[in-house]
Amino acid sequence: MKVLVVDDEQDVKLLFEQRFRKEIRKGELEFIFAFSGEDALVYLNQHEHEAVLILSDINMPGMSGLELLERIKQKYHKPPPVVMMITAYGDAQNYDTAKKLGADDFLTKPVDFTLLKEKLKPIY
Amino acid sequence: MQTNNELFIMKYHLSVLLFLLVIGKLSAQGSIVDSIKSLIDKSKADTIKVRYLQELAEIYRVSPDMKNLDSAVHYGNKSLTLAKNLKDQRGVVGALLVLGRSSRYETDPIKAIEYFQQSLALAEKIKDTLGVIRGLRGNALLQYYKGDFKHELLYYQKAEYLARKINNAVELRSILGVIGKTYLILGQPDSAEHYLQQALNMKLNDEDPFSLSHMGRLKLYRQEYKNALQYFNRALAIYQAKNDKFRIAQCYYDIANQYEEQNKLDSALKNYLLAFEAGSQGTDSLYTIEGVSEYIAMVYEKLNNLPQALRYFKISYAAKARLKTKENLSKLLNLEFDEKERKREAAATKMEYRSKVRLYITLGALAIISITSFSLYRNNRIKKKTNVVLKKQKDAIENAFSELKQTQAQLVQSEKMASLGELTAGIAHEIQNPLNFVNNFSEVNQELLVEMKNEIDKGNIDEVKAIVNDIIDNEEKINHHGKRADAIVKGMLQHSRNSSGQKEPTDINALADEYLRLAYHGLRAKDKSFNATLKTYYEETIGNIHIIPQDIGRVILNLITNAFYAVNEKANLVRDSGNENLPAGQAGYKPTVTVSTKRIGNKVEIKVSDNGNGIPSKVVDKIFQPFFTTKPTGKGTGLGLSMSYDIIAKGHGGELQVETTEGEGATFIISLIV
Repeated sequence: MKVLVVDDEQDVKLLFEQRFRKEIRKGELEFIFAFSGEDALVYLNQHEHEAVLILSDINMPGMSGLELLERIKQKYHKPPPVVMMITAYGDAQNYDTAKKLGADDFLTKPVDFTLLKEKLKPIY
Repeated sequence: MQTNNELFIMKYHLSVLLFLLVIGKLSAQGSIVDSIKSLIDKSKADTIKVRYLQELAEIYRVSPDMKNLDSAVHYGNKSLTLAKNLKDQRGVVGALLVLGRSSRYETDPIKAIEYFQQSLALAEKIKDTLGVIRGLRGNALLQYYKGDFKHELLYYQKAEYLARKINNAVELRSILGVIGKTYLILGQPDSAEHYLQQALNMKLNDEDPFSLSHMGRLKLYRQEYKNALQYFNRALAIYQAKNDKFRIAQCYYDIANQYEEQNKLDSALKNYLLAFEAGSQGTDSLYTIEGVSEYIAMVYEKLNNLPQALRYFKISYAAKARLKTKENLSKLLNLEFDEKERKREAAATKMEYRSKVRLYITLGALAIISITSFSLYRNNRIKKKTNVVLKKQKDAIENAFSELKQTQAQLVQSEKMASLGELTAGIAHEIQNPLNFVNNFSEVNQELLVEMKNEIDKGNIDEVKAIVNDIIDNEEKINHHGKRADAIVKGMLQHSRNSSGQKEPTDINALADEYLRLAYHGLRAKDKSFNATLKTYYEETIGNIHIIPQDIGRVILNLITNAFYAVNEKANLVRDSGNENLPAGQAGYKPTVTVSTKRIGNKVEIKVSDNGNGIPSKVVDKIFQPFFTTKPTGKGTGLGLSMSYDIIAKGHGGELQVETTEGEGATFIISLIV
């Protein structure tokens, strides 16, 4: 299963690769990284339906995670992929907005990888 | 023997008379005059008679009851003629001094100065030190009437030196007193006090009312009212015993003045009226009346008793008019005096001639209005009052200034706190991210180490090596993110702290980037809908530059915050004008803030650009002024850009410029010389 991780922090790549190294080695999960909302859209346009799951940070310069979510859910992709939002603040406002825009699930920073793995299991 | 006896008796008589004069028991002056006259009649034409004549002249000169300058001059001349005939040099000196003192300084200074100069020259020639002292004092007195207090002081200081040399306590005390007075006129209260105190400390048979009076004035000058009043009262008692109306009037005037300064108008009025009453009976009554009646009028005016005020103004005016006639006369006499003076001085040595001509030309102007000590003091008082007003104004201005400075400091602090507030959320976000990495990578490393143990047990060396490499990479990341968090906290502390003012080598790119992120996340935390594209173009080869990092950081933060504000305003405008359902980006407007650094020759340029609405041309000149802001009330202090300008221009000798096109955006350029 392909997972697109969208975050402006570049080290997220290394972190995910390490955290999921067993799953990656076994070929259960494949991670693709985009460092901005714009990059993510470019990837999705080029690789339609490849990514089953999108994990996106909300707070990013340029296109925010919410904007990305909106575009994914309303404009481009049918059927839209599962989108999980990661928020640093975990506040009600971002949660509600994301929910309204069609986010499937939420994670709060710092990401609890054990919890994330459990959430991913039923999907792949 | 016979003559010696006579001489002894006469000397005795003389010393008794002198004693009586000195201690001021002059209530029976008429009889003293009679007894001296009889002594003169009885005595032969000898040096003793010369002295008697001088004594008589002195009594006519100084006695409050008997004051008659014409009589004084008459007896002075008699004494002079006799002394000359007898070739009694000391007698001549004494007679000249008496004649000098008996001249009317105000109206006829020429004669006075001639007498004093002659007596001085002769006294010096025959080494009559007391004569020299008195000649000096006479000259000093003339300087006083001319208003040249500095020269007056010089004469007195010479006299003081001589009086000490011959141990003449009476003369010395009197000189110390007048020196004190002159220092007071010159506005040097500390020096005045030094001399007056010396005079008052001298243990003689009586107290010196002159020094007491002036000590009182000194205390009044220092606003020590109680002390002042005590001194005035002590002086008053002595003058009352002497029945010296002119001086009594002065004491009452001083006392009244002291009350008026404290705004005790009723007591002031009472004493002014007493001064008026005494002054009208005393010598030089015109001056006293003129001065005192004006003060009475002013107090009545303050008390709202206008009819009385008018009455005393009229009295004062009449006295003034009469004085003016006198003054006009003295003006003519003074011109003549200057002319004569020049001729006389031509004979003197060239050096002295030059300095004195210069002196008298100056004095001539001053001497046009010759005034009594009374009106001089009055002038001084007006001056002092003006000084008090000026001092009050100065104090008020200084207070206002220090308040302003305080307010300014508070505003600067509040500007800092405001920008710190903007930063806080950004800082929380910025610290949270590296901390997450630190936690996550250390957790991963724990797992990796467990795994490694298993692989070692299995003897799978290649796998172990791979895991070790991962652990090393992760440790590097932990270290990197730990330092990142550290730098952010330090930056925050630096921002809130007052600038240390220390320039240090700083990576300008890192600094700009740090504040860009802080500003961005700070704004995002406050306004969820806010978004903007950040573009950065950092010239990597700039290297470290010498700046005060927290100050420049503050400027960059300020410029970036303004840029975000500008693009956000425009985004809101675009959204509100018909595209309500669309996010900002979709209306074709992409809010963008660009930060770039560049080295040009010996300069480094830091540019902060936005594509907001720009700055209207009519306000572009004002944006660096303190308190200028286009933000709504409460949103901006109006100090951000003026502080930034100060930091760049004053703190770093650089330039802060703005380029803007209305509707298209603005670019702020910091130029720093490296």
